[in-house]
Amino acid sequence: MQDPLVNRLKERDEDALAEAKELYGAGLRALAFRILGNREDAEEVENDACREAWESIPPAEPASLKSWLMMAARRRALDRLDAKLALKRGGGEAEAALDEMEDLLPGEDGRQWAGEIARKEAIRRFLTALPAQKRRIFLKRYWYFLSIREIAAEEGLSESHVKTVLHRSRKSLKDQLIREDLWNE
Amino acid sequence: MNKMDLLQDLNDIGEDMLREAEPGQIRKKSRKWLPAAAVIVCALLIGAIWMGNRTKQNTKGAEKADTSILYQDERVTIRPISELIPNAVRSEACLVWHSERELFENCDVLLRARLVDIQNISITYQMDGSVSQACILTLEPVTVIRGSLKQGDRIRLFTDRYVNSSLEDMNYSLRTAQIGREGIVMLYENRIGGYVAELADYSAGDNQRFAIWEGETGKLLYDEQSFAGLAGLKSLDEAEDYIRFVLGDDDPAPADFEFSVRFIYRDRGEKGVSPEQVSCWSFGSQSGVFSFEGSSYETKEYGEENLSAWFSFGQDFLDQAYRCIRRLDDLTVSEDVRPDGSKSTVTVEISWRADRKEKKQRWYQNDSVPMDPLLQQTVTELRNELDKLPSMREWDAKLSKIAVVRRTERAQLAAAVLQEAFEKKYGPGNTPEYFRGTVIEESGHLSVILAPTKNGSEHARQIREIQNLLGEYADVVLFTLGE
Repeated sequence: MQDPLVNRLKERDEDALAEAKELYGAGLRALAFRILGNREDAEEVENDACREAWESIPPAEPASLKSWLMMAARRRALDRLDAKLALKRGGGEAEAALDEMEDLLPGEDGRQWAGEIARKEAIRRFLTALPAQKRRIFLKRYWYFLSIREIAAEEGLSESHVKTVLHRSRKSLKDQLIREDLWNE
Repeated sequence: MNKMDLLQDLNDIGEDMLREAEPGQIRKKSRKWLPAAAVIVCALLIGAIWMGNRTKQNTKGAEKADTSILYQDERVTIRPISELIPNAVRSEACLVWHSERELFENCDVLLRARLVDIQNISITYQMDGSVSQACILTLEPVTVIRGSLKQGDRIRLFTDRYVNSSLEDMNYSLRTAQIGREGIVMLYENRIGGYVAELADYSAGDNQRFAIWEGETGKLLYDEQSFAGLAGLKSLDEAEDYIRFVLGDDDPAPADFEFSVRFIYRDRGEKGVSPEQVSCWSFGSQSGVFSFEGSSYETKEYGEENLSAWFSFGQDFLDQAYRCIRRLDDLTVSEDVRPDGSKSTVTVEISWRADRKEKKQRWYQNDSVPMDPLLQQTVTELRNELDKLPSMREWDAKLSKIAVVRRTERAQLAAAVLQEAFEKKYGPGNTPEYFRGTVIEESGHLSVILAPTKNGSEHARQIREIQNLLGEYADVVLFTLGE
């Protein structure tokens, strides 16, 4: 069933955008703040994501406006983080999560992982195969950028347990990428 | 492609997964709490029904005139009693040793409940008129820790003993059972049927260990020999947490978990002691392999040969081992337990590292110094885990064969050395009067057979003489008395 707000955006109803901001703005800002660590930057990301929704819908017709906005906000926030880090400026919780991604990088022999599409497909397959709790923990860390402590509290686990699950999940993902022969010479 | 690309790759994974992982949804371990109001209502209803049933006549093809009969069939008649019956038949059985985890796992239901009624009963056997006693305990469930309750909201538990806390020889769990007490109870389903199935929903596995009660002032009442892990715990809440830890598969081994177990064997025959043989098994989660350090006996005799083997093993094994070893964290065991000149048969040393902490425990099996029960349990469970690894079993068997072969070679040399020593001392072809010969045992030891004697001092002198003649080869010798 189509999201009613998406239908209204398709009909160029500006009030729909305002309603979307009211409904989802806090979540967008929270996600962006965890990535960027800065309130002003988070608000700018929220505004950018909403503007992108206005400009992209239509032709885009997402089933859920909330999810679409979150993905847009996350993408934009990560782009900003990339720029900040290049300028040696700090980010938020995402910076720690980014460091953990080091485990997934190929070695120093100059090879790279395959192209974006193949990687995304492999990652989706990996996530689908994970048990539900491990998938939640992985996404809470690397999609939503919750801290280890927050994840432990939400999942009712110890922090060391969460860290171990994340460590093993990263290793499993890397093993899968290798198994699927996604190295690029 | 860099780390940021990988994070971006995650962006478009699908709404379902995003919704599932959305922050703000708190998940706690589920506990099967009965809603308080439902418990009260059901307790009132079932209590009324139960009170009626306690005097209900339940016949199978026979008319009952006695209104106190609870149950009757062609084999037994069961009545409620309030006093011990003199000369009642009483069944006896030896307790089978189980580890804590086995006790918690073997039962069908592990239940936290309050004891609300104790009904002692007599069982009269129609065949010969003999009478035994038993008891039906009624429990009001609080939490199901493991398993699922098949009945409603009150549970009847059958034990094959009369329950009276003043009786001195009462099994512990029964002696400490009092109405109003809350406890953690191990329930077994009635698989045989008959009168037990008519009267009760479950049976106690044994009357000594089936319950951990909470006494006055929160002191826990339980069979301490069987549940060493509960030592120091002060409430049922703590006991429940501990049991869930023992049973659960939470907290997998941390990434830096490594451990080693050294078994140091010293065979002892009658007055003859072989040198130490050391087996050390080391496991590391980071390295993903295990290594074995060969016997010091072999390396001493045959140089620096290192019987190393590298196998891969699963994370499950490490997690299980971590759960066993974690229990040792709070255990204080003196490492000076071994008295001077001890003749311990086995020394077990467990070293481990986890979360950047290191610890070592050593246990000596010595008749005069009993091992701490928690350490005993841990070692037993670790050995069980080791035995499950097919590679370990093969390697152990292989090493045992190697040890026997090498010991046999040494025993053959020892026999030759002894023969030569006898000839030097007693003349060619002669041996002392007490000497009856030698045999190489299946284990590879050289068994020196002596004439039987009741003179202990003379016997000791004979053994000393042979040990002196053998010199360094005395280590593979055992002494036996011939005919």
